[in-house]
Amino acid sequence: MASEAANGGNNVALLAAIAIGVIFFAATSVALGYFMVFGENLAGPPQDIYIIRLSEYVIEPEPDPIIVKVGQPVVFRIVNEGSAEHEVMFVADLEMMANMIKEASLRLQQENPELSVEEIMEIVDERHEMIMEEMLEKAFAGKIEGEELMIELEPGESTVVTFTFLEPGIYIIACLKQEGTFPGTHAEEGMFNQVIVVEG
Amino acid sequence: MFHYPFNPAELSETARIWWDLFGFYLTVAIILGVVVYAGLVLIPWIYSRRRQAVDEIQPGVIPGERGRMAYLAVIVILIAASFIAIFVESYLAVNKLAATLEEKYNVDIEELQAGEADGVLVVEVIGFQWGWTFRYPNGVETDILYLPAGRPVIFKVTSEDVFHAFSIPDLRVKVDAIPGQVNVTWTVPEKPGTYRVQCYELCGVGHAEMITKAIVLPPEVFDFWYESQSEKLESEGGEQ
Repeated sequence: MASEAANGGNNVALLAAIAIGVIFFAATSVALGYFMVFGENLAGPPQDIYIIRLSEYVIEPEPDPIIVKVGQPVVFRIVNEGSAEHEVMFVADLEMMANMIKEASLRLQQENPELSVEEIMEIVDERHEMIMEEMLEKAFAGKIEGEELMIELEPGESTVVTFTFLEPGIYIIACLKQEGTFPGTHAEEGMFNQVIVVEG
Repeated sequence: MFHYPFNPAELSETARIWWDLFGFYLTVAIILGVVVYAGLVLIPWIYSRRRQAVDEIQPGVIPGERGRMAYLAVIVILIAASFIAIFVESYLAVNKLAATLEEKYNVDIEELQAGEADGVLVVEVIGFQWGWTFRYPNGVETDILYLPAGRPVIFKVTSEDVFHAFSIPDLRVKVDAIPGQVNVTWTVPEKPGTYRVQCYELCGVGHAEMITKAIVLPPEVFDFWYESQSEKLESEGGEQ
């Protein structure tokens, strides 16, 4: 009788040990498996704040890339770290915009050969600012809420802007300044990037 | 950096094939795991309930409960079936990698080797100590990989000096870069974004820093970049 009771006690202890082992192993396996499968997506959900650095012909966001949730306000801290004037501008059709500026400056140069490159860039800038702003407002009405869709920065200058994206999709940001790349724009050197707006 | 709120299998065509295979491996592993753990729990439980001790030593008698042929057969069949299933599925997935490119995207491999295929971007990837050069069909060379979303891209990977391995982990692209040899792989990136490009073969002191970016752009933006780079290259060539 005594030995049977002792056997029963051993069995309970054995079963308890096995059960604890199995539960521990299963829990750690599930946790590890979850991190292995979804871990790469856990570290980077859409953020609220992005730092966007501008320098000679690159727009470098941090973290990279810019991913934003629909309807959620996002703060962009934009810093011009380059030595030329840069801008961040939302464009609907990058190719059309870049060609428009390029052709306008080439035409102006042909018509007025006495003007210097700086003067041409200034005139093109002035002429297009109003048109661009109207175009941007029209193109992004109901898609982006923000104070301005075209942010110009002098070298060393920085600013903080808040946007709310209302439709999912890819939004292209680019710099269409010409300083140093005349008559082409900075965008043609690769100075553009994308804002990925996702649902959720 | 380089993280996405998307399903990882939707990032590229090769990622989809990879995750399908991974799902199959996981299913096999779960089935085998359930069998093993059920045995681990049930066998001690069943044997502990018996009054008579099975393992009691009886001189001259081999315990009949041990080593039944049926148990042996079940174990052998389970192991053999899992091995065969995994082998067949892996073989099919490897074949699917080549077949998908031909069937789904109408890429003729022979024409491609002759350099005539349309709608396919062929990028030459050259690894060196320690970095990557990407050469496009128009002659443009960059250190950041620009790719169009939704178009098949073929990588011709080689190395200048030592062994490297070219990889875009999120898009499930990986192939060795070996001097004097051109290895070919492909993918179809589907989500625009920025991905990491990394060397996966220990190649020297700078191996850990042999990282760059792959920027997947919407096709029209990629075309804009590609054309402006071509124009730039032409005008530079004209000046010289």
